Amino acid sequence: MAEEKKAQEGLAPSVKATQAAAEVRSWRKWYYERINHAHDYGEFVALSMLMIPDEIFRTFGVWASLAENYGPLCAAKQVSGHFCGVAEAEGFSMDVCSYLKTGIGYLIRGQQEGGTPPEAPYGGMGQIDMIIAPAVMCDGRYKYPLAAQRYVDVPYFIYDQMDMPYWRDEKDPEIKNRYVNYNYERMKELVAFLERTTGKKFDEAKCSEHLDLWMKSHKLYHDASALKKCHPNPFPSQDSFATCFPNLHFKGTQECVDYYQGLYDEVKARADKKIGSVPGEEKFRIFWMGLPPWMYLGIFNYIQEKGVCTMDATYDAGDIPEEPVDLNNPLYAIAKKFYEGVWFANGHFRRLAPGARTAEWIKDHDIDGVITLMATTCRPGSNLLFMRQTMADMSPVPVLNLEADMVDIRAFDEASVKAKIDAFLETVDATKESRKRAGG
Amino acid sequence: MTAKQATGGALKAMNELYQDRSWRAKQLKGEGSGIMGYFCSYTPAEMITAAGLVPFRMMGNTKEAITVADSFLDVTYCPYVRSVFDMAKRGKYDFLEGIVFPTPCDNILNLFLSWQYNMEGPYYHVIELPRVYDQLSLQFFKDELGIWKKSLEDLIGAEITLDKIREAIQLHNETRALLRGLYELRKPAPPLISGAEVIQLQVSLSSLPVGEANELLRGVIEEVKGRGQGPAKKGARLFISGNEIDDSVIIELIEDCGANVVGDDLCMGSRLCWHDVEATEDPLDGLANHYLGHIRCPNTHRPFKEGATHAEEVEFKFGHVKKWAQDCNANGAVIYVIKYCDSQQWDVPDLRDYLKENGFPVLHLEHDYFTLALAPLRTRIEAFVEMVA
Repeated sequence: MAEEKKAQEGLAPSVKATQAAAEVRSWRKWYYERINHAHDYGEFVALSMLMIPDEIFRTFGVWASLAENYGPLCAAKQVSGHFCGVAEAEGFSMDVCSYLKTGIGYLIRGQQEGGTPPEAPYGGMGQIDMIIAPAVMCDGRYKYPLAAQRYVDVPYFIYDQMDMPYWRDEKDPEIKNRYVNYNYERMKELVAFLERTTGKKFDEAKCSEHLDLWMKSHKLYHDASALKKCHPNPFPSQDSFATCFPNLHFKGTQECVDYYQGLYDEVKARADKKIGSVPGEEKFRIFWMGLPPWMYLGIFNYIQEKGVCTMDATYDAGDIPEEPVDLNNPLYAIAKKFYEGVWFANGHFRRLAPGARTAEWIKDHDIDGVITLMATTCRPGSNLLFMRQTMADMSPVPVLNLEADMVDIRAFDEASVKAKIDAFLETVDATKESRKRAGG
Repeated sequence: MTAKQATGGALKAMNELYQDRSWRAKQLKGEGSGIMGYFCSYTPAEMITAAGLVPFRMMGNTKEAITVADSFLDVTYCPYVRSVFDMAKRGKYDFLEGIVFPTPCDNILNLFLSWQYNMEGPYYHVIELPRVYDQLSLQFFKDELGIWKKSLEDLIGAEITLDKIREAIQLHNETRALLRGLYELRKPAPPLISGAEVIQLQVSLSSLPVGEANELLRGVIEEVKGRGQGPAKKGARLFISGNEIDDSVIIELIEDCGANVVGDDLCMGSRLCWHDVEATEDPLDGLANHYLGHIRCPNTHRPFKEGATHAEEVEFKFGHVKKWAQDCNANGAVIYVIKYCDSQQWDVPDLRDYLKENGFPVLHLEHDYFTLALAPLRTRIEAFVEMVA
């Protein structure tokens, strides 16, 4: 126990390069304060998952409480292992997603305490009024909310949300229409559920406003992320992983637009002034692919102190729609843009050759090496060998697979991770040299 | 097949086929038949039959450690999926015409990614499977079956008529009815057929054309009814709920520890046979409703009613397990889950508590699929059986 505590104390929080990233702390505080007192404002909280249409939620005054955010938060506060352990003692497998297991562990503790468990950071996951989960991207996404009902017996709504079928010609209009129409019908069902549960009528005009605002912040976030390819990189990973927070929880608000305008302005200014994130010149540029170790985002500072910049695309904004969204039919527009990959991270998981997309990113950003976290409890993330294989066919840069969990602190060893990264950076150095000599 | 069966009886033929389940498929291929591999209980084998092909369910080998697959698939994948891929990479499935992948879970979907990239194959098809069962998803799934039908027609160069599908449904329904009859033979004390034999039979049936499968099944039922000595009576009568058990070794282990395994809710068990495909005017409607609605795999979410309590939801979700366990007079239950199966793993606490509340002591086993080192399982099973018996 003493050793564990010492190890936990050694996991230093990250130091941010941008003011925008540093500001996220206050956003986080505000958000959790709000969802834990939502009823005081006549608002609701839905235990939910990423990929839900926030524009629709916001129209009804519903906040989404996301285990995919609370899990990382608990990891950063070094209590994720505790909540995972509580869930496992209840019978949930060690194999299941640690984000969601943290969420379940929190709910179990809440039931045990008859209220918010005292060890829960930020006052907990909110005053849960309902459970809404899209069955998309991974199995845990709808199984966890169903399991959560064991501890929070509230109305729930699970709906299908079809992702792009990459094994077909996803651009074929007939295929696209079929999937988009299916998702559109599900959006209508979601609206009907929210009307029944909140007692409010759907305000289509208001939804369009939120959608419009989100497309604005989306574009700004996208454009800020695109600056990662600059030399030197002005927007390092510890900042990137922090600045996704407003996009997760505040999309569709003017505040979110303002935030990403600020982020873009700051990152652009850094790019223009050649302000990077490492002391001195960038020796190498590393692509951190996939999930970070949320319990130790300080790992990026560790790497940067060696003159190596890190960048990622995990929570990037996703694609810009091919044409402007139709604000006259916001539900259809939401269904369509989901299919088109206009969502952070969407499409990356289900594209036919994710290696090809990654290889392209590597080339565009002048990447010298790739580090991936083989997150043991993430099923969609458990195809890194395939991604490595396809990448190796298209890109010569070396890859390091770190075996650790993204949230469960019990499955993360700082010394071992650092040692592997140190050895890897030597490989990157050697590889870069030989590529230079070969004219690559 | 028929010649082998004639020399030793149906149970012997079943056992021989179980020991080497691809021999008949290879024989048929040599005679000009097309063998179509498929994953999972969600794939309508009727469509394959209607196409004039032989449906062949993909299985791993629990007795062989993974050698090749670890270079392609992460170890945090479902071990069943990794085992199948390993076998395929080593050429064990080279006799297949093609493979059908439904999308019930992350593991099979990820498998498809690697498979189509790393394997030569004339035919792959993915059937998109909705996660929710309702009218909208039924229509979507029916459309998926229509797309698959067209794909098979392109492969075989001929139309798959609705009449052919109806005939295939009748034949596969016959299999289901025969299996339900067989399951009745598990109810007496002792059961007339062991749980291990049932798994062996299911594995054998999934390796044959449906007509031969029905013939084998009829033979087995007749022999089981007529044989003088079946399984010995044991104090524990266990019902097993879980996912992929395609090797009888696990059931043999449980039975060896002093139990009769008298009923199941498994991918290679009762999920295959408890309901018939309804005869609908458009047979694709019947297939869609059966495979999305009746296959009680935890991958499919069946909404109960809005505002239901969690207890009501659980009753709706698992009531069939309770009923089947009660019908076969079980006095204990085993929840068997292969590692990395999110769909099943998330359900364990609810299912466990539900069964306990309904009078069944429960043993939860999480296993890595392989039967190379079963001693730790044996210890736990023995202790459980002793308690139940």
